[in-house]
Amino acid sequence: MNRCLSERVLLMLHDGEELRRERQHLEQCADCDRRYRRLDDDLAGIVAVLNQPAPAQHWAPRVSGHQARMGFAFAALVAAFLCGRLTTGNVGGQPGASQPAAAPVMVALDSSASVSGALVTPASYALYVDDLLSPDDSDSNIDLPADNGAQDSDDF
Amino acid sequence: MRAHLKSVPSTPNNWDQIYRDHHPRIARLCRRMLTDDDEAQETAQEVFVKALDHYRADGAPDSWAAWLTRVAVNACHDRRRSGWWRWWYRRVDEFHDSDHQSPAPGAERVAQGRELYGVVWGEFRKLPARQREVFILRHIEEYTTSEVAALLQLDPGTVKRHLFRAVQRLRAALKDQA
Repeated sequence: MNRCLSERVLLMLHDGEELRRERQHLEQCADCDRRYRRLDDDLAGIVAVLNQPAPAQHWAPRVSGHQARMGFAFAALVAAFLCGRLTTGNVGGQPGASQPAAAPVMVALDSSASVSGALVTPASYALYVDDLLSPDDSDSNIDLPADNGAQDSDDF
Repeated sequence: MRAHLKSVPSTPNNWDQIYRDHHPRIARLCRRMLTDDDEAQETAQEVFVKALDHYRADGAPDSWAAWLTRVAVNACHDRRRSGWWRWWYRRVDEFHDSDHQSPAPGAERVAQGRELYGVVWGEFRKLPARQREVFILRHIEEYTTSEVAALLQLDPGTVKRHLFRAVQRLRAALKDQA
């Protein structure tokens, strides 16, 4: 079983803690004694350096000028793209907008009375034809005899 | 209370003596905790202003040394917390030969001393603030572990743990340099 002292215990002994058994071991074990001396030397060296004045410092930006410029350029690009998407998305009637099919449809619906306005594109023409084939509202004004169907069924 | 305030002069009679006795130590403590000379000077001045305020309000403390140390540690904490804007900047060390002259000047020794100085200070600055404080108070200011615990309002076991980690890291840096 390895009874040699850990670094933590060596530091505690260096700090003057009352660890009788460990201190006894330290006095008997050459290896632990060597490690203890090395710890003592290291600490003395560190303290000696830290007792000297701290090195002067200056503040430097965390990012370089080139990185900052590239970052700004990228941000501007993204902002321009988003701005463009938002503005063109709201204007439906403008040619070359993000929804090109919407403009002729709007024209066809608004000017359903004029055939020339409806025949602008194939899509609007289809709407125009659809409009012609759909049942006219005027059909509901025709008076049909209400008992026609009942008489037929009685004859059968 | 009013009578008490009247009886206390605005400045202790031995204020100059107190300042002369403690200011170098407090300034040094702040410099090591903050690792920045300018901030350390400002913080040390702040500590003595607080000391005067405390004296005018409550009279002299039992021990100026302990009181000033505790106030300095807290002031350094506050100063570090308020330095969030420094995230955008990094500190760059400037090493000067005159800062770390070797006892026996020789080209090799100067070079070794310079390297050791840079390594130790560099690693020390990289330590977490709490480990740095514990190391300074224990090994540079030479307070006992229980005194450090009382000053930082920590458990002695926690102080030992921080101290062990700090020593390990500094020694590892020394080993790498060797």
